[in-house]
Amino acid sequence: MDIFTSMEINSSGMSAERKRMNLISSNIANARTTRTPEGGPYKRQDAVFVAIALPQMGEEDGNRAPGVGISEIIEDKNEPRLLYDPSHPDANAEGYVAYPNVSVVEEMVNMITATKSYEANATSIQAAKDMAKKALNIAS
Amino acid sequence: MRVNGINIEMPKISIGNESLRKSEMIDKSGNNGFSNTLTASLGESGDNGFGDTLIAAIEDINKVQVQSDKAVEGMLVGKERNIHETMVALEKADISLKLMVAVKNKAMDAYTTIMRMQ
Repeated sequence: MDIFTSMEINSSGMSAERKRMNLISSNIANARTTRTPEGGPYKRQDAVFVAIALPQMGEEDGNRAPGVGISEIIEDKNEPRLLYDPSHPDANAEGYVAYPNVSVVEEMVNMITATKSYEANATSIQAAKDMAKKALNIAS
Repeated sequence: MRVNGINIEMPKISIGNESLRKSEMIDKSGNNGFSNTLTASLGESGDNGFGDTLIAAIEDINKVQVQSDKAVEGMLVGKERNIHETMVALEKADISLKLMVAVKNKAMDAYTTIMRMQ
């Protein structure tokens, strides 16, 4: 592995965190959405991270998978919250409205985690860049 | 042609087909023309000398620079959604360019040292 591979690995981490941030934004924006195109309330979405091998890596590191990717986006299987409101247009037969199973507080915590993880990857790229520049200073 | 009553033979100046083809290749493709120019200027030595190593190194660095150009263009056009990938490509181009400059400086220092050895 050379110094550029390190930066590529962290760049894949930042891509994965950015995609996760998109899902968190969608969850927060749709926290009270009772109507979706496929019917029913909005279901909270989450991403599954998988370790992948980057395409630029050489033969010696072919078996290891240091990069990060998102393998699938899963929907939360928890039951939606039911609130009694017969006058709501989306109320069911008993008068209950199904609200999404999104907890805004939990999503805020996830958002902070995603942000800090993104910053940690950026700091790691900075460190790799500084290492390369220090090595270049040997010759000048 | 006649100048003041004297027959002057104008020498035939013709641009050789070789150099025309090579300069054509510079316009059509990026990397290939580059290395062809270098090969032409360094001489067709044929053995794995210093020239070939230099050409290979400069081609690698040129590839990285072209990638960085494409990354910036992609971000400006809106095709590339990841800002950090553009930044990483820019950093890679910067570091490899600095590396090439350092190698060039060392080579020049060695050359001047030898030339000073009267």
